[in-house]
Amino acid sequence: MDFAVIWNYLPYLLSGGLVTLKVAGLTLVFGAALGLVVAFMRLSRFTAVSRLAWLFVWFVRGTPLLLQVFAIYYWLPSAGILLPAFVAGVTALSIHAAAYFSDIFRAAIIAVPGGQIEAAQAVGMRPWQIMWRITLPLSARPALPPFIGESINIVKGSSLVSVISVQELMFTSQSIYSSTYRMAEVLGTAGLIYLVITTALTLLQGWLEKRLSYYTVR
Amino acid sequence: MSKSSFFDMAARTPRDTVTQRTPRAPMKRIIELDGIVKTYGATTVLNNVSLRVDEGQVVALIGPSGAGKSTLLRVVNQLERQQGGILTVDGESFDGRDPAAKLAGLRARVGMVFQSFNLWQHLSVLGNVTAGPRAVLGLSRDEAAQRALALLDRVGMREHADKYPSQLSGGQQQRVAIARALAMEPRVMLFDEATSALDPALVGEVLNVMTQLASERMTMLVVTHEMRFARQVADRIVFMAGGEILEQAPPEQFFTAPSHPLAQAFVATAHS
Repeated sequence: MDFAVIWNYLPYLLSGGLVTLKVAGLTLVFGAALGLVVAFMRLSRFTAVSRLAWLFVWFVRGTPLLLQVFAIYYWLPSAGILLPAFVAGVTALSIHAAAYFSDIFRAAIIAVPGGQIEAAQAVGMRPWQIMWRITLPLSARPALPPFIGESINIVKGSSLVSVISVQELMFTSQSIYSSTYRMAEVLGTAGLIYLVITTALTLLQGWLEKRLSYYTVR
Repeated sequence: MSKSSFFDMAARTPRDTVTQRTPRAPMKRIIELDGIVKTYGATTVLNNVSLRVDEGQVVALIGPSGAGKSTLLRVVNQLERQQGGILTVDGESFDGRDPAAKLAGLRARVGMVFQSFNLWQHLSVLGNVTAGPRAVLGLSRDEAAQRALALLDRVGMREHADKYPSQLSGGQQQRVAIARALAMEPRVMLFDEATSALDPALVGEVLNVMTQLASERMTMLVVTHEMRFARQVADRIVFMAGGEILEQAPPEQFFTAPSHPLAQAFVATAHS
């Protein structure tokens, strides 16, 4: 193995890594927002709404992410919706992540002790006030470890959008090793870059857990 | 605050001197329960219960566990909605099928203190006492903090304003919970076994605050197992068993000469 060759291609790999960061970051934001909406829908007292959310989770979680990426990039145009590869990739990843996030949020919301909510009702807070002021803040800590876990999955899963030619880290690596035949060196470096990103998320989790440890829910 | 200081306090404010002190205008009815029925499936928890509480009165709800005391209390702020009967608070009636907005309005005027405190764990002591006034009454941060600090002072918790509930003893948490309820400037205060979850050594400091509140003529409905407190602070004892009110009497009369056989048995056990 000759890692010296990597120096020539490192700028390309790093710019691929930057695209990976963008894809994953946007997916995190949109996926979490959509996931929260789906979680609220699952918890709705209107059966139709809750069932709709259940169907969404069932379908999205039950089919491969790769298939969803293809579907949005290749099938949507036939319905008249033409998305650039980057947008299609982020859309597919966000929808996929939302299915997982929704259950993480739902579980954390359900786990908030009833007494905390009753106390909020007892001072006359309205349901949405209770949700924003009491339930969601109290859900943050239990949701954090699985949330970061799913975020790490998003970073790694973002490699799948290489199949629709989004020039993220995996796509860049493939184009480099197919012309240099330095597969081990290139993929090794790409793996390291992924590890740096996911390590940052892991460290973030530790820091946030410490920050949120000022309270204990009983 | 030690237990002995509570008893000193209670001795200083027996209910007869309290009654003397306040030349009462014609009684204003503030809570009225009329034929309340509450069932869970096949179980009837409240069976046609009627009760009237006048402004400034302290009413102690006592009786064996499972009597329906807590459920009755929770009907008053509609945390439990009755299947039958009418609740009237401060002139406004509730039939158990009212919309959420109306219930929120009721609860803003009725303070509640829970057995397990239920302080919001993610908020500081100050945050717990300011959250309601800010969210529900629309007070500014400063106004709410000012009000909260004055109340925390009254319950002896001002120096703990920046702490979190998990850093406090049970008695301290319950005093904060009382301040939290008072911050809404309620017309009525409900106490649901407020001292039952406390170490015996911490009961006194909470009863002390409740006694002080009673002496300020706060209307209070108190579910309690503290017979001495009920006898010394309440204006009236309401004895419940099996989902019904079996006897209502002034404390001295109830504890010395209860008329219902179940009440007699209850008083005899409570004294032993």
